[in-house]
Amino acid sequence: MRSHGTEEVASAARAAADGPAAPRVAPLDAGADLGQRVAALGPGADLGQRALAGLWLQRTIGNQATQRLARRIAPDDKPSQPTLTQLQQPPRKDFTSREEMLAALTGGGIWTGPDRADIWGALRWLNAQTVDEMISEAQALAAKFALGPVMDQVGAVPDINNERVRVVGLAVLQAGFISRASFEVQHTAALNALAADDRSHVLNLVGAEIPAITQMRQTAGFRALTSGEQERLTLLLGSDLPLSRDEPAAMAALLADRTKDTTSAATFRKFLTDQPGLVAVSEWGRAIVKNVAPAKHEYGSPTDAKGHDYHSGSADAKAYQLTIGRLTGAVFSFPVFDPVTRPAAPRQLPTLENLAQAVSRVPPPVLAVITRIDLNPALNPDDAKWAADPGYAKATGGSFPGSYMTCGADGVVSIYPTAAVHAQSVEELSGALMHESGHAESDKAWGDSPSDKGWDPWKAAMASDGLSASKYAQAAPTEDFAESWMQYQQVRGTPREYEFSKLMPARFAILKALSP
Amino acid sequence: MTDHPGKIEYVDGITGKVVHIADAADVDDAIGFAPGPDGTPQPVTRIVITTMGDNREVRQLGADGTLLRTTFQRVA
Repeated sequence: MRSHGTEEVASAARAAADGPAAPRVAPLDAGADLGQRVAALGPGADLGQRALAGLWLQRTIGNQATQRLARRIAPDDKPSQPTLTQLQQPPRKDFTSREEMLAALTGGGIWTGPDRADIWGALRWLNAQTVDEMISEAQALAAKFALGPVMDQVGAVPDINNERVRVVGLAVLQAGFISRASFEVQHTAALNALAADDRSHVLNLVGAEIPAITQMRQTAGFRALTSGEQERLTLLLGSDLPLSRDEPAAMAALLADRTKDTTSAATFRKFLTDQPGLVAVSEWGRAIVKNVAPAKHEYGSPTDAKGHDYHSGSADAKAYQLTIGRLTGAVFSFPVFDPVTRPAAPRQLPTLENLAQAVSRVPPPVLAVITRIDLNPALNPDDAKWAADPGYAKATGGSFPGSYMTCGADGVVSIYPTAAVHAQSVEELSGALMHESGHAESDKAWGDSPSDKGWDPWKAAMASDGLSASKYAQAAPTEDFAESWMQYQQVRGTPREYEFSKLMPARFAILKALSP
Repeated sequence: MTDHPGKIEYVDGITGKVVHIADAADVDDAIGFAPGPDGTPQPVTRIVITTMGDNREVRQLGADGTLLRTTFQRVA
């Protein structure tokens, strides 16, 4: 999809991206408009102009050509992935009613620059309300699935009381997903700044405390922990992260077990190490990806792709151009080939919409490398070759599962039919893509073998943090990285980073440096 | 297609140990080669296989350590 710019200009820009080393901007100036946009990609350019130029070029010549172009102009400058707080200041917009705000935030279309003006306008609108009114407005936004994007940018607007808006907005957003104690731990200062009635109303939104946390906090063993340990344990039981899902039940079981000494701090320190409620491997995917709002996505009318070259064999397909717009203004676009004839039952293939929802949940570092997605109508022909391979048999003990997805260095994602019982959910597809991107990242940074020296800091971080992101993470340091990366990418740049940074501080520091 | 340097290591992803070394000539091209960043087949010299529960990941790496392809599998 090329919604802006002419093909002529696009061709010039593509040639510039692929051409010989460009000494800055002059040789690329195929047209005044193009030249200005290319110049704006340079390192000295204003961030806002740079973002707009990048957006225009992404839409015109595609993601990869734009990144190549950016590297040629500023080779020492990584492709721009501005953090949420680095966004340019959008044009000011002030709403005069809830209806006006909701209409602006829930209208159709891909997220682009002007949408940030709406979000900042919504934050100003919330800021102008009393706490009770703000709760009502935030609930109206939440009912339209628009509160998450708004809260992701709280802190960026310079002229409002961000902490007040943050604590009220998050209480609405995280109600039901976070414990009262965990919420209080995170927002002590902001809550204390509210009037007593307002504070009570905000905490009531979050809900009653998880009984296991209340009971745990009353034990002598818990009180004997350091304040830091108390905070970590409270967060482990009550955080909004997938790794906390089953910990309250595990703590309830511990407290009910008369053989456990709840007067000893050691009992609770062991809980922090053992993570008895860690999500089981069999729940992987279903439980690991949660609360990730999809970015805006579009796929228009398809074109016919006769005899598409699927890995499973040539077959007719419908080619859709899937376009995903992130809040940062970055737009990613690539084709999806949906087979005309879908696999017969009991085999199943994700629908185009499920696939679009899954892909639109994955973060920009993953989206940036996807060049094409094939929904193969038949099984992966390599399955039989793996099954017959002696090395594979030695490494696996001989069992052979079927393939459901491959991701290649060329950016091609191939999805294959599965048995109905293993129908791939949106969460599993998103999780697999994010997990895989974690391996790609660690391989690039430190190599594929955890015995390599480059892995030492990560292994030290694992030992220091103690906690694991999932059972799957405990298989090996490489899996620990991929699983931690997946959970980090779900909270990166959002207010939920706090919980991750407290539960896995050493890993968080490394991940933040790799993917700020 | 780039010539294969000759050997392929199979690694247990959990222990990190090499469990098998094969001559590339004895391995099917679908396993011994995988598309590189530009889409052309590149030799695979290391295969890391991790199995946890019903899930399995097979990662094929090139001679320079580049991750060429990951295959996600599940017991049907």
